[in-house]
Amino acid sequence: MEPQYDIEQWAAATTTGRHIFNHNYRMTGNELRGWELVKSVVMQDEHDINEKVYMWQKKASEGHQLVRISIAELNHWRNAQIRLSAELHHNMQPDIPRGTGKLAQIGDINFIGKKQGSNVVAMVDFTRGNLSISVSSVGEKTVDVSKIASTLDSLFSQPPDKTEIEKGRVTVLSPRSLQMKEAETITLIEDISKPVAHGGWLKIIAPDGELNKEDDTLEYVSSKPGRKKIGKYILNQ
Amino acid sequence: MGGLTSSYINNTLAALGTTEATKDLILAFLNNAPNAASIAGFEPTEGPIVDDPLEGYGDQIKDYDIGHDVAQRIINKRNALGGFTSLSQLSGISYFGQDKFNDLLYSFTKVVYEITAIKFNYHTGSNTNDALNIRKNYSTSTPSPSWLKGSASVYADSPAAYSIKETQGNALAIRVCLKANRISAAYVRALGGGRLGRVKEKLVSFSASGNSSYQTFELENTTFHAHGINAYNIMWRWQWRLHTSDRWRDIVVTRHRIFIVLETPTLPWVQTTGSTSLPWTDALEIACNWAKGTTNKDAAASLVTQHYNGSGRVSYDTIRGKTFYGWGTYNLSEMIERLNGGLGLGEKVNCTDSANTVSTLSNLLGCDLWQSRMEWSFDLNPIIAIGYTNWAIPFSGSFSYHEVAWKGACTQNDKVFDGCLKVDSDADPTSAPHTPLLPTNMLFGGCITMNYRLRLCPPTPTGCDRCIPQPGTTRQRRSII
Repeated sequence: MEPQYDIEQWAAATTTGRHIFNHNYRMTGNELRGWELVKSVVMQDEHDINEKVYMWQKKASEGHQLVRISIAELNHWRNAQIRLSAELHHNMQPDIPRGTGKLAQIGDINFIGKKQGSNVVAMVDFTRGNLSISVSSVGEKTVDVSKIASTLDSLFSQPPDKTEIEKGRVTVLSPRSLQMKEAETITLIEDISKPVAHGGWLKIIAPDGELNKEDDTLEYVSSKPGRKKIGKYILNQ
Repeated sequence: MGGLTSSYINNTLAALGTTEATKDLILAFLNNAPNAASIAGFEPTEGPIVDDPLEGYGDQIKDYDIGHDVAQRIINKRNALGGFTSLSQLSGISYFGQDKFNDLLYSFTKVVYEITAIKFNYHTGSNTNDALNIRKNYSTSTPSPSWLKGSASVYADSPAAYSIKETQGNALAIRVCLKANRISAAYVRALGGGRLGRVKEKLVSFSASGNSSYQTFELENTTFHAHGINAYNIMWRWQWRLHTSDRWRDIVVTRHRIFIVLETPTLPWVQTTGSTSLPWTDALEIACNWAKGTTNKDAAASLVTQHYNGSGRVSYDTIRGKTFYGWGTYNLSEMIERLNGGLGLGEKVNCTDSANTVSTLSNLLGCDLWQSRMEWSFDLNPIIAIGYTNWAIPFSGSFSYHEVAWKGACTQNDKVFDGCLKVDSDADPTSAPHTPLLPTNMLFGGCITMNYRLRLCPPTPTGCDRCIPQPGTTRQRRSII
């Protein structure tokens, strides 16, 4: 029997990720304390999907502890979930479990993999907004990747620290708030390639509604009327 | 003997009408010689400085050409000067007298002195008489022409690949560009060449400026067709002579890496000029070595399957059986790095990674395999997963799906090559004892007769009955990056 991943149920359970959008993120080597970024590899670079894989090595592990992080950027949170479903269909294990307890908080939707006969979480696949992320232990020695997955999730879903803004490492784009009608669609960014032209990472966090990239335009659809504070950040990488 | 005076040298050059081109050739030769031996040559072989038969004693015994000691003195003076800028600087070199100076002039006055370029693949639209279109890897093309003076120093710098099937019975040829000084035509050939063969003697014409433009040379004594898939290092010793009665004189030795495949590679490999899916020499290095000596496609694919499974560089992902090297496109570049001892994308693989590797490397050799799946959620017999030595039943007893390299229409009537796991080859794969067998060219089969399907799955409604080929939705050849 084909594994059943109920994408509609996933969508119904997705709240935060509907109004989070990350664009042009890349890991540079400072993200994981105690780990060293060994290489990054472009797996797919097409109009509607960009997937990069980052190989991390635990410092002083002499290559025995390796973590592979795949980050696929799509144009919409629903497509990120479709991508996750396709990813799961390329796992040979039937009935891949969801994360429970604290693990359940990672991402909008997540699935995990544990080392046989232990509680070591060796794999976490999750979506957050328009990103589909996969964190896997791929070295000789299996390592728990749940903290790494959790760190990444926070990176993509939380606004930047105020200190980062004060130090000039983050640029906040205007306008910072908008008056919206219910179900109104507005263009947030006309050409999404412009704010990241110098290699920055664009992070958008809206209070409700949905974010969607149509070609190069980033649109926002509000779910409720009122004044909306929309965080639009360009982070130096 | 104190050597020549600079005035003798200058007067001789003027009297003989030695051209600036000749002087430049001699200076370049002396300045680029890495050691004395490269000037003196290796006896008894004549050259690179040859004796002028019209000067000296004429008996070829007393008037030998430049020897090692004199050559070393020339090198010493060159090094002291920081390089020669004029032939008059050859004055005062002990035992470098008139006869040897004449020999030097003679050797470079009328000479075929350079192989400029060699093309193995001169007809990009076909490969019946020449080599295949190739590239080094996804991001790097191979040099064009394959061999270029000054660019190629080791065998791998000058690669070429030939298909046995397409070239069988045909005269093979290469195209070569040469340079000569004050010669309108000369005979040129190359010895050696291993199983690719010698370069047949040919009369080459040169323009007034000494260029030959590209000349087509036939190869002779080509024998690679009988020896199957292979990767050879070959050398050609290029020679020339002015008249058929003259002795041959050496020009240069060129080195080349030659790959031999069974047939023109099939998808994902293409022969479209400029495509990133032209056969990669980085992949040919692996595939040709794995299937070395094989003359048929099934045996080649079997060897690829065996070498991949036994490579020791990858092991099965027992956490979830996840695809790591790509399921949209296959990241062959990273797999090659992994198989060559590098990191790649890590050691973990699954059946999709294995099917991709086996089929893609086999098809590079001319096989005709597909990646195709059997689905869904079927119970398993004990297996030995790639990278392991123990019998086990993964994931509490079943696979969600399994993918293999598959022939033909990828149905139960077609044969599979499974690099991912070994099955039990005995009469009862459901229970111990087990005898490991890597499935190569094994019929997929049904649920009655013992073939791949019943070796993989028990004969139950949740085993064999659910393990159904799905060519309609999954048969493919993933593109490569």
